[in-house]
Amino acid sequence: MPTTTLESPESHAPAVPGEPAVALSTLARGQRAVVREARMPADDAALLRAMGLCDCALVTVVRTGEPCVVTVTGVDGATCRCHRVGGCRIGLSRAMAQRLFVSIIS
Amino acid sequence: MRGPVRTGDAGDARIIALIGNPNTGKTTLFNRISGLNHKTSNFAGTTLEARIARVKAGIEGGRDGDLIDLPGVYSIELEQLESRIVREVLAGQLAPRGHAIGVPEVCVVVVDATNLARNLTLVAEVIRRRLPTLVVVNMIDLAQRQGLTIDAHKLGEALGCGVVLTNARTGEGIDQVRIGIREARIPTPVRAVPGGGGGDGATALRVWAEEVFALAAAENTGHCTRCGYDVSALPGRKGKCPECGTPYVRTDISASEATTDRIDRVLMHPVLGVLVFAAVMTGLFWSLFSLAAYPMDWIDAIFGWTTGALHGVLPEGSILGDLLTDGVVAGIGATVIFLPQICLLFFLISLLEDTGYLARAALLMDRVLRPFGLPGHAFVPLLSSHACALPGIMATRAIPDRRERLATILVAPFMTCSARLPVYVLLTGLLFAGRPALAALAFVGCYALGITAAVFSALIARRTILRGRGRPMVMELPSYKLPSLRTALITTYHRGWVFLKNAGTNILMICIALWWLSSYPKVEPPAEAERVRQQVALAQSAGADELPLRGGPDTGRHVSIPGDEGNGPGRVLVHIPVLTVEHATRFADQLEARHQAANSFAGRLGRFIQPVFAPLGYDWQLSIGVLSSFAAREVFVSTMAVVVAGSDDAEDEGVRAQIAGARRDDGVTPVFTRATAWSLLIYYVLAMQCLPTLAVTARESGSWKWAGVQLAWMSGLAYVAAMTVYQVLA
Repeated sequence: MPTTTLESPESHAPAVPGEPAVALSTLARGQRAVVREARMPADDAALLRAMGLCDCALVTVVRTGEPCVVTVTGVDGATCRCHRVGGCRIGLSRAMAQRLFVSIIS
Repeated sequence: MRGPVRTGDAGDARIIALIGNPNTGKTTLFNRISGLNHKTSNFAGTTLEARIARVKAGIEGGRDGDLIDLPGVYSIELEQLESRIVREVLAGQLAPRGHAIGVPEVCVVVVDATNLARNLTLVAEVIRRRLPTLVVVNMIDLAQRQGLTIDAHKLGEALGCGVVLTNARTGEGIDQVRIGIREARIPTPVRAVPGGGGGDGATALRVWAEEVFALAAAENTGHCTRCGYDVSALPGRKGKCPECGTPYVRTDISASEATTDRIDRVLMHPVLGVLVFAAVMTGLFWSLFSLAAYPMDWIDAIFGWTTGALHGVLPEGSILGDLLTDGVVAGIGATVIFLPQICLLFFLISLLEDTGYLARAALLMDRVLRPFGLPGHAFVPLLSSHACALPGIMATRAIPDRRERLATILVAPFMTCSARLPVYVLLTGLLFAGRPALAALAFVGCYALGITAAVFSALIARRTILRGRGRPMVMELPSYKLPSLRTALITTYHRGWVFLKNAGTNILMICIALWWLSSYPKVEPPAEAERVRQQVALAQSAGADELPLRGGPDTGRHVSIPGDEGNGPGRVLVHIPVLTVEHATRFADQLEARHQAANSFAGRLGRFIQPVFAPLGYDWQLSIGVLSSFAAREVFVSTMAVVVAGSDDAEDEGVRAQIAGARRDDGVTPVFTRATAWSLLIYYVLAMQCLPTLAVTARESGSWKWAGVQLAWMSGLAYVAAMTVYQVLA
């Protein structure tokens, strides 16, 4: 049985550590990014992490504006790179998307 | 937080905790295991509902277990009420009311097969607690349709505990869940679960989950899962591998995602999305108004018939007879009449929720309601309150934040419910007689005023008594799927039963109390009624069908006789109405009913508090109407019919005319002037004139304190607004 690879696919260029992060709200539809930082109250950040939007989470923007919708498609961590098609779909208010900072990867 | 510890009927049954992320089908699984056989309770010190089902021991022996459906959470470690409850139940510090506190002997973690990697982080948090665990991978059919294969054996090895694949909608795998519960053991995962919290801890947990996922799951790559033959070019979605004969289902998760994207693009579009939402809500609202009307009419007829039958059997005028018919039966009828709307609302909401649409709708409406301190989830409860506030308030359970939920509960009764409509019809009819367009405009204005009052009251509440940050608007958008009729029916049954059991009891008691206040003390018939009856008896003994009745209602026929004033040919003629015997008897009944209404406890109370309503322009008759309609707004019309016309048939045109032409005690001033009619209209738009709603508010908020706040705010606002209108217009 073919298993899900832990390597990032070729189309996925890993994000460069230290690359300037931008607000998720500035991304266009179809862009992919890695979550870097949640500049918001600790409780809100913890909820986002629990929902899958933790640091290093790979996201793809499905819808921009209000609300913003992303799919969480894997992680891009120091020890593990895993990318899948699909994944959980999360809707955020624009205010939340403005406080979630990501590094664009494609 | 902690309530009194009691040992209920849980006995020595094992505690089995059912845990899972929201949208994993946890409740569907619970319903599958329990059927209709479960109890509801609250977690001590909270209003969060706990559902408990008895799981029978297997044929090989063992002990029965109590399966507790815990709130859906994304993490046990969050500082949210739901997470805290799960944490404390797993630690053996909290239990549903009536159940013994104890550490669960088994944790059943339900995970969504289509979103396994994220769900596994919750499994990791449970594993850390070192409790016997069973992982149930639900919605396996959807995962397979998306091209995802999950190997239960490999996943079980990686997690070091039992794993069962299920499709709770069809019941597939439920028997294995029962076996798995019996055989659950403390997990020994191949890769140790990373510890620590905060951002780094969450990331480490997520990486662990992805690694476990990669060990156990495989995406369909278009190759045979057995021999690796490329089946992507073969015709048809399903078939058998030409190389080894293994059945295959060729799916493309990208295509599935693209379809979801396309649907989302429409449903969450700023214009199209709102149009679809408006259409869906119109359908929901129409169903509540029109479809529920049929069973409501049947219930009304059944209870009307029962009351009539009891009247025929029980001795007339006896306290027991009156109590049974006008108190108990009418009270039960007043409770049960709400059931069709409540059941229909929850049935439709359950279907909508199951499709995955409701989460999107809440997200869409969030920006509309957020400026008023309400979340997008509040839209459906507020809209439903236009049919009846009771189901609306019960529907606020979908709002996760306590403060936002309380704010929605407090303002929901401002919405114009169907019980206000008879009052609006009466008052707009009086204000705009013969001008239906203006009456319709006034109707629309009443709806608008109710909505405005609701959203601004919510804003005030959120900035004062319910101050605090609401939950951020972040929602998981579940996959689109066909709704489960079975789940919807079970939810409907469950909600209906909870309403009858809890709120219904209060409503029944309130109805009996109000019946007693309006029916007692029994008073002697007024002298005028006695006089009319004597004249009727005389006419009947003389064999006459008609009689002239001095002081009787105008029938259009009269006899003229010389009056007491003047002499000889200059004497003034007096016209006395001629009534049939039947009409005169009815007139005597009306006189008695008016007299009884005016002298009952409620009537006396109305006269007593009339000075309070004087600034609003209400005389004692209107004060009785307002007071009696405290039970339910529509009672105002029938009370006015009894007080003014002595008839409880408020639909009768003659009675309506009598109400419109009613005079105050001075015999000159109309009861309904333009100023009092407007004042009453405003009062009924804003006032909390519904005791059942207060009972449900107390039940859903967990305290009569909030019902008191609701009553004080709405009645106070209504009083001030109605007084202002009256004083300006008068």
